Amino acid sequence: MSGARSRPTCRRRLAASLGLVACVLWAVVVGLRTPVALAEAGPPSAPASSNEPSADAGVATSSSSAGRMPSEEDVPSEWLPPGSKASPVPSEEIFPPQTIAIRFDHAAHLGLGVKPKLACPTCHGKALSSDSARDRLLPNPVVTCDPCHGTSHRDLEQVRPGSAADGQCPSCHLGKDAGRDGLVTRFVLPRPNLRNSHRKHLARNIGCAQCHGSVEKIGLGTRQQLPRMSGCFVCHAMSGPARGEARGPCITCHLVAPGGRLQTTFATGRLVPPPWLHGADHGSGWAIGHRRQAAANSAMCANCHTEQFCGDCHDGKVRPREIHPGDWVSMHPIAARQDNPRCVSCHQLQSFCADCHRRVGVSRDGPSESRLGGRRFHPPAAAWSAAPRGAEHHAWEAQRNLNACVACHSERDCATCHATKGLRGGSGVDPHPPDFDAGSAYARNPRPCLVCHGPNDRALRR
Amino acid sequence: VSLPGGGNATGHGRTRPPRRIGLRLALPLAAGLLVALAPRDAVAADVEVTGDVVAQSYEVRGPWGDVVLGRRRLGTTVGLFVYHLQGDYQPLEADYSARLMMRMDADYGIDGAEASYGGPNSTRFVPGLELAPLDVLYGYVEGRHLWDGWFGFRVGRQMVTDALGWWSFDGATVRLTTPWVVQVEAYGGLEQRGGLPLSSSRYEAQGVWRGSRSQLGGAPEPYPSFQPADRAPGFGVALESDGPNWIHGRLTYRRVYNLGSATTGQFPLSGQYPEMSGTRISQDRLGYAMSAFLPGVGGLRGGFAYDLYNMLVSQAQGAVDVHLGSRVTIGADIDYYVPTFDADSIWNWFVHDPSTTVQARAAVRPLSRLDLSASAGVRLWSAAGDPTTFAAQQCAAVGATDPVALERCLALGLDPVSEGVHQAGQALEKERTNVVPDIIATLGAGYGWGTGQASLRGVGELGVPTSGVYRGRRVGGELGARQAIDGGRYWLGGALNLYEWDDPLRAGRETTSFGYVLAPEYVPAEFARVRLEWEHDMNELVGNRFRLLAVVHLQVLR
Repeated sequence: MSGARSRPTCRRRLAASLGLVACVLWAVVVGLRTPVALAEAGPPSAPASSNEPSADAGVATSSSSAGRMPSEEDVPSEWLPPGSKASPVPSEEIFPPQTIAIRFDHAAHLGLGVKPKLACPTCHGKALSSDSARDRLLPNPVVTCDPCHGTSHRDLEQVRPGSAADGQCPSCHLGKDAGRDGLVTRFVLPRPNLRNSHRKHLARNIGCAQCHGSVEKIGLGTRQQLPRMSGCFVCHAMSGPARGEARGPCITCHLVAPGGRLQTTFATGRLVPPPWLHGADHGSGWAIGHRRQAAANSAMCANCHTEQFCGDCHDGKVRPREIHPGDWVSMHPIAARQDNPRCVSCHQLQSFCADCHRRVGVSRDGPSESRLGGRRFHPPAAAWSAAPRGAEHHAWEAQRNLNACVACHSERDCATCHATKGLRGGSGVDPHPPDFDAGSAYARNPRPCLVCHGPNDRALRR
Repeated sequence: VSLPGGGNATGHGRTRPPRRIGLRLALPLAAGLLVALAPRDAVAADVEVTGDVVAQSYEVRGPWGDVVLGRRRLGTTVGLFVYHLQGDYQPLEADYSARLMMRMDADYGIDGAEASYGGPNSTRFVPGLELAPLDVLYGYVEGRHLWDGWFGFRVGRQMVTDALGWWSFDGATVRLTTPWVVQVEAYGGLEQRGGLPLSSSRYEAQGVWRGSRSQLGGAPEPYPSFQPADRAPGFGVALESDGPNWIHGRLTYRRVYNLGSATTGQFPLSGQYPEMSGTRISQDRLGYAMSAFLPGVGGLRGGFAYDLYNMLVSQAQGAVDVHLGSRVTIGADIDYYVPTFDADSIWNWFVHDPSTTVQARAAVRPLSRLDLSASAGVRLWSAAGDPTTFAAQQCAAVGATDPVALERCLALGLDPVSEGVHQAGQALEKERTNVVPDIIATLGAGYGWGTGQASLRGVGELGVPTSGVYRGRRVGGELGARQAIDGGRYWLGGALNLYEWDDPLRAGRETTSFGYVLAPEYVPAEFARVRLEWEHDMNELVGNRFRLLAVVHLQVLR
């Protein structure tokens, strides 16, 4: 399937392959890519109702990555929901992008001075009894708009405008020729992907502003006023009696997939932890850095991942390219010497490493047929193993990185010199550190001592 | 000879075949529990079946460039899962499930002689090598949130991941969750070990070559280092926080025992290999890890593992994150690591020193779909003594007290077992610690555009010539991309990688590696995915290397 090439041949092949592959990748990345506008829009979100037309071309979608609404304004940070400092925009996976095709000013309405005074429940009364995040909590225009604006939304196929200027369709609705020949642009409000009960929160005296910020001071309410997880943690991360019923497990609020783990795949993307959550930023540095989180809180990982997800790399039978890139077979000795602690996090040295080393002849106890005469993996014996102990002597490398030695050698290789003279068959080269004291080790497991020392060795009685 | 732990050292060369008591007990126990927990009435449980078939073909070259192994691997993984055995599922309410994942990893490139002892070509035999090992990755019955959330359990083959690493055993776990911000976990069973039925060696402690000696007829010769696998009982307890989400900690303790016989002497005595038997420690460790964060401000993570057998801290790590706004995170990490081994291994008692890694890192998200990360730092390898002057000092030190040894030094025929030389060396080792640094750096980037993604990974590992020691370098990176076609029915992926590296362990090991990958993918149905991967790597030392990979993934949920 392959063969060794001379260097010039290899260089020509390398240059040709480089050009070929560059072309292919260019085609992959650029040529086959869908138009930017389509791609940026992402997968379609579920509309508010099945008969809703898509938003007009002139109406921007309210999302963190798209254009701004005509009436959207910069909301001062102090009016945003709690937690907005850590998460300036709400998650698109939890709250998919919306199209809010209306002109509305919360501050102006709440400041009208009408009696009784307007409050959130005046228009969003359904929230008081809502037990599901999927409930529609928008105002019913028949009740909340028509009495003042003189309009009639009773039949949505035959909406009648009011007589005053603020009763005309375009005064509130967007859309080309809204209310005349054209249709008003309808809302696109995908349902949020979480579990929530407004009723329970309100019953515990949690006001609207504690999750939605100061809506009464802003104009149009957009996704900006939707809750942030770090804001939820104000209550859901408390301990003891202060926490009350605000439980902390992720499945308290997040949707659950079969198996009890969180649903992480949505039309708008893949749900990953925010960077601030226990440092679990699943960005481009995560493959290397995730071990600390796994050691500290594997239960958190298990909220989303099965054992097999870990096993695919850590106990997998396919080389993970993210960790071991191309030509790894050639380069792995360098990593084994320079980054060995990471090797043992996935590989058992005596089986995974040494088994292959034995088969290819990079091991003293490998099959005799694979150990070709005259070939030596290590530097010459005069430098590598003979005394006096020079700078290239194996002892230094063994001290720095004993795992690398163990990946190829079995204990017999070491015992040849390091076992005691006589019955144990060694040369008596003491491998112990200065002032060695095994403590109770012999009593707890005498086996390693007996490899190099006879059972009656005086050294074992110390 | 009477030994601590009630064992015996004998001169007999035969070992008993591994016993199967653990498996014989575990299987009926698991089956009994499954039956006991099975719902009495018909309920609507969710059933999931997954299957992966991975075929790979590639060749492995020896360090001199010649093809020495032809790999023809076929891996098959089958998963069977039944969720919500109790019927209706309510989050945070009592929930039962059963999960099983099995795997066969066959390599048809294995030469028959490599796995068969005593044949005409037994010069290629490698103990423990199996043509098509079958193992159970995990298989357990689990109950969660029982007794108003107080109690949970798992029975069967399962994994534990914490500050002590990744570990697998056949047994049971019980978890008591209290309302006082803490939960208690206790587990016990038999460690999963290679050489036992349906097991792999992945979870064993390092340092011991174990497996079934049945191919060898049980005799240690000619592989006295290849120890017979036997059951290994172990247990552990953990205290874990279960309170405020902003802080989490887990204190954990685990002990594993080795049972059965082991060959001790590596060379025969009167034609026989010494061996011993008895209950003895395999590993005995205590660990703690914690993490805490403040949204928008930063976080801390840290932990350690203390090896009670070796009486040393085998691992410690710490990390600090600081969030500069919502798009930038900077941080620093420190890792301390000392190799430790199974208590059956001799290497615990060899001189070896810690390595310490210190890194600074940064992660930036300039756009919601673009993230960048970078890290840089130094890894410090230590050894007792000064390699450049050690030999001369050793000779000089011996010369003052041992004229005979000095004479040998001058002739460069120093007897390493001379007591005087050894003592001189030990004295020198106490004097100073030599530290060799390696510079390490990584670079990462990811960009997604809805129907595809691109990534860049770069790495630099640079040995610094210090004290005459140069440990090599590896610098390069990989650029990859993946694009959906026809609404995700097809995917096309590709990658380019370029690395420049130098392996100074042997002369002439300095070259540039270049490779590319082409990976088309087809999604014929929601439950199926087929991927092909063609990889072509080349460097001047070994020429061209190819790998062909085919993956079929099936997943059905009812």
